[in-house]
Formats: sequence, C-alpha cells, structure tokens
Amino acid sequence: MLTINDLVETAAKYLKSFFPDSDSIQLEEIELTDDNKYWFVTLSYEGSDIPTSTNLWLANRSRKYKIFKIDAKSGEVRSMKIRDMK
Amino acid sequence: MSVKNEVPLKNKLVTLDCNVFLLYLVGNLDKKHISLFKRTQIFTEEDFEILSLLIKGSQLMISPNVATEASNLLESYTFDKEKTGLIALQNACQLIPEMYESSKRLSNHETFFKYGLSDASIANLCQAGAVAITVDFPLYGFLSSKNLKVINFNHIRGAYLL
Repeated sequence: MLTINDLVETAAKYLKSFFPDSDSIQLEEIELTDDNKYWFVTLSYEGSDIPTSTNLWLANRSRKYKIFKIDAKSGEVRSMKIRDMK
Repeated sequence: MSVKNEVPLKNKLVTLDCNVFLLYLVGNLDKKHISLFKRTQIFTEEDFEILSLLIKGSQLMISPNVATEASNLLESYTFDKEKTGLIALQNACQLIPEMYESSKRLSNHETFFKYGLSDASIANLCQAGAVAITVDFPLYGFLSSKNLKVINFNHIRGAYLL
C-alpha cells in the first residue's frame, strides 16, 4: 500500500520530469476518491513564464498549480492537469 | 512556518476545518486510528504530532456545523465493537468551545454556494478574528484572497513530505 510520503514523492518526481526548472514545490492538497481507487495530489511550484529577461525588474516566475491522479494500487500517475483555483 | 521550535499560534483564536478536526479528534484518541479511519488516511501520525505542536497554547474553537459534519463522518467508525469515532468527538466536545452562527446568516454568506454551510461557518469564524487551519485548497484560496488569517496545513506537511 502506498504511503502518503510515496504519493507526494511520486507526484513531485513526475512534475520534475516534465518541468525540470520547477522550484519551491509545495504540497497543496491530498484527496482519496470515495471508491479508494485514486489519489489526487495537488502541488504548486514556481516556474518560468517567459524566457530569462535582461530586465531584472520584470518578474519572470510565478506560482503554478498541478493536480496529479495516482492509481492507489500501482502508484502510477494517470494524469497531470492544471489545477483550477476555483 | 516552523512549528518544532516555536509556538506560532500561542494565545490566538484558532479554528479547524472538518478534515483537520478529524485528524485532531482521532489522533487524540490513539494515533493508530489515523491510518484506520478512512477520512484521516490522507494524514500520517507525524501530521498529528505537528498539528498538536501548531495549536499548542492556542484557544481552539469550532463551529457546531463543523462538529456536526465530523459526527456524520465519524459515526460509522467502529473499533473493537465500540463507536470509536463518536467517542473521540464526545471527548473533544467536552473541552472545545463552540461559536454559533445561525444558518440563516451563514446561508447568506458569500462562501455558501461555493463551499456549503460548514465552510461558511469557518469563514465566519475567520472574519471574527480566528486563524483557520485547513487542508481544503479552494477554501484556503478563498480565505487568503480575502486577507483572512488562514494556514494551509499541507504547506507545513510539505516541509517533511517533500
């Protein structure tokens, strides 16, 4: 059985594999579906919005939110989607 | 926020969302129940220890709406043929003060149609000056957007889970 630590680590590794520059990763939410089949883990991170600017005053990083659907049995990530703030 | 070497919420009015309240109730009874009760399986025993440190010295307060929601979820939890979940709630109800607000007023609260009565009661307590501790991402987003005092407990957990 997956532990909470396994779940969060799985989601963070998956995120890093797609967005290697993701920084300041933060855990936002963990949910287990009513049928116990899937976990949903929401992570936020700082990532680049635009290519590195020479204008230092121009903010080029912002916090983004992703939700991961993880198979509760296998621990496999089934999806990664943008998490809506609503 | 580091909680191991400080008491960040000392003397502050604190309220908990239902999931965090369940962790507090079940963990106080016996930490082994955290992984046994479905609703607290999103937490670890360490989470309970950190939560206990976080609210140490604070004035904990809940709304009757959160207590009722907790009761609905806890009533099915039995252990050794005992109503373990409800025993945990009964223990807490003897000690934790409540602040009541009418359903009439809460159902007119701006949070009601998005989050329901229980979360509206948390927002109401926040507006009365309480610090809310939640693991509900949308509720956290709403309360923080209103500059209310709210802690996403997952941010603290992330320090040792990530």
